[in-house]
Amino acid sequence: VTAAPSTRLPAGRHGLPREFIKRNQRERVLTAVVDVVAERGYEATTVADVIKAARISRRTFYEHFRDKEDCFLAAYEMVSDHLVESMTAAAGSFEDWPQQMRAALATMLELFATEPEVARVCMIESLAAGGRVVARHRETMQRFAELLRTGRPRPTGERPPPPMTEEALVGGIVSLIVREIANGRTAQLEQLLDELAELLELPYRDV
Amino acid sequence: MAASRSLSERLGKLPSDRDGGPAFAPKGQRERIVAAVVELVGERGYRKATIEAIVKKARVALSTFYDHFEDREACFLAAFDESVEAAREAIAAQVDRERSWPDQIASGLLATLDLVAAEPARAKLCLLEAPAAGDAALARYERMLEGIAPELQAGRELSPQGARLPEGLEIAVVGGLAWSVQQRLAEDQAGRLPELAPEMLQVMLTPYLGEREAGRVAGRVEARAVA
Repeated sequence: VTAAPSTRLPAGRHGLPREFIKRNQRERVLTAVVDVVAERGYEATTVADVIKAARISRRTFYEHFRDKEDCFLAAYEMVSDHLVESMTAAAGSFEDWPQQMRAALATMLELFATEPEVARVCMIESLAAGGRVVARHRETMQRFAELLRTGRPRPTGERPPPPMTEEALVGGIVSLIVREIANGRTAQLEQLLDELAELLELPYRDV
Repeated sequence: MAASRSLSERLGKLPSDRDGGPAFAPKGQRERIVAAVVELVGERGYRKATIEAIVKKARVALSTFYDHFEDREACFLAAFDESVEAAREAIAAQVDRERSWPDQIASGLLATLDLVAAEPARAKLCLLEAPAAGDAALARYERMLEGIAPELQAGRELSPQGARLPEGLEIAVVGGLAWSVQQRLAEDQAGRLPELAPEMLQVMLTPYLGEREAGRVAGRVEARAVA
C-alpha cells in the first residue's frame, strides 16, 4: 500500500500536535501491516515485523493495538471501507442497475490491480486470519449481496430467483478473483470486467 | 531382475505405510492422526489445531506424528486429499449417468449437501479452512473447484447461449455454491443445508436453463423432498 504523503513524518522534532501524530502513527501501522501480511501471509507475520516496517516503537504499537489480530482487523476495516466507499461512489454516477454494477466492479478490479497488497489482504489473508477478521469479511460480502439484491431486475418466471442468488453471485465473483490472485495474475484483474459484469446479469435472464 | 534379489532386499523395498510412514508402525496410527486433525480443525480451525493438540487427540507420540508427516501442513493436506477423494467417490455413486443433465446435477448436489450435513468437521476442513490455510491448501481447494466445473460445463449443450456463456461461469457457479455452504458451516448450520437444496439447485441451473426452466426443475426437487 502506498502511504499518503502526509503519513511520512520527518525524523526528529516536528512540533506537530499530539493528536495528529497519534493518528498518523496509527495509519502508518495499518499501512505497514497490510504490506507485511500481503508479503508473508498473516500466519507468519509477527508484531516485530510490523513495528519494523512502520518504523515505530513496540510501545507505540501497543498504545494503538492490543495484538496482531486487533491491528490486522483495523487494517482490514480500513481497506474494505475504502473499497466499499469507492464502489458505491462509482455506482452512484449511473442510473440503471447493470451500469451501476459494472462501474462498481470496474472500481474494485482497478483498485486490486493497482494495489495488489489490498487484493491479497481483502480476498485471501482475511480468511487466513480467522476469528473477528473473517467474520468482518463475511459481513462485507453480505453487504455486497444486499446491494445486489435491492437492485435485482424484476423476475419474469413464476418462481423468482431465490434469496440465495445474490449470496452465490458474490461468492462466485470472489472465487474468480481469488483464482487470479492465487495464480499471480492480480495485475491483470481488470481483464475480468466484461465476464464478471455478464455473470451478474445471468441469474435474471430468461432464455 | 527381481527374482534374484535377496529376501531382505525385497522386504526393504516393500511399500511401507500409505505415505511413506514406517513399515512396521502399528496399523491405524496414521488414520488416527488424520481423524484427529479433521476433528480439531472442525472444532477450532486450522490455525489453532496445533501438533500438540493433534497428537494428544490421536493418542500417539510426537515422534510418531513426524514418522508420518513432515509438518502440520502436510498432515492437513493429507486430510484434505483423503476427504475430497472419499467425498468424490460417495457423490459419484449417487449420480446416475443415464439421467438427464439437470437430474444429474440435482442428485450430485443433494449427495454433497447430505455429506456436508453428516460430516460437518470434514466439510469445514475442506471448504472453510482449506482456502485459508496457506498457498498449498488454497491451490488444492482451487483444483477441487476446477474438478467439479466439467460437470456443469455439460449444461452448455442444453443452453441456447451455449458457447457464448462467460468462460468463467462454471467456476463462478461452483465457487458461489461453495461460498453459500461456507456461510452455513461458519454459523454451525450445516444441518440446514439439505433443505436448501432446491434453492441452490435453482441458482446453479439458471445460467444454463434460464429462470423459468431452472425454477421448474427446482420445484420438482422440492416436491420430491416433501413427498
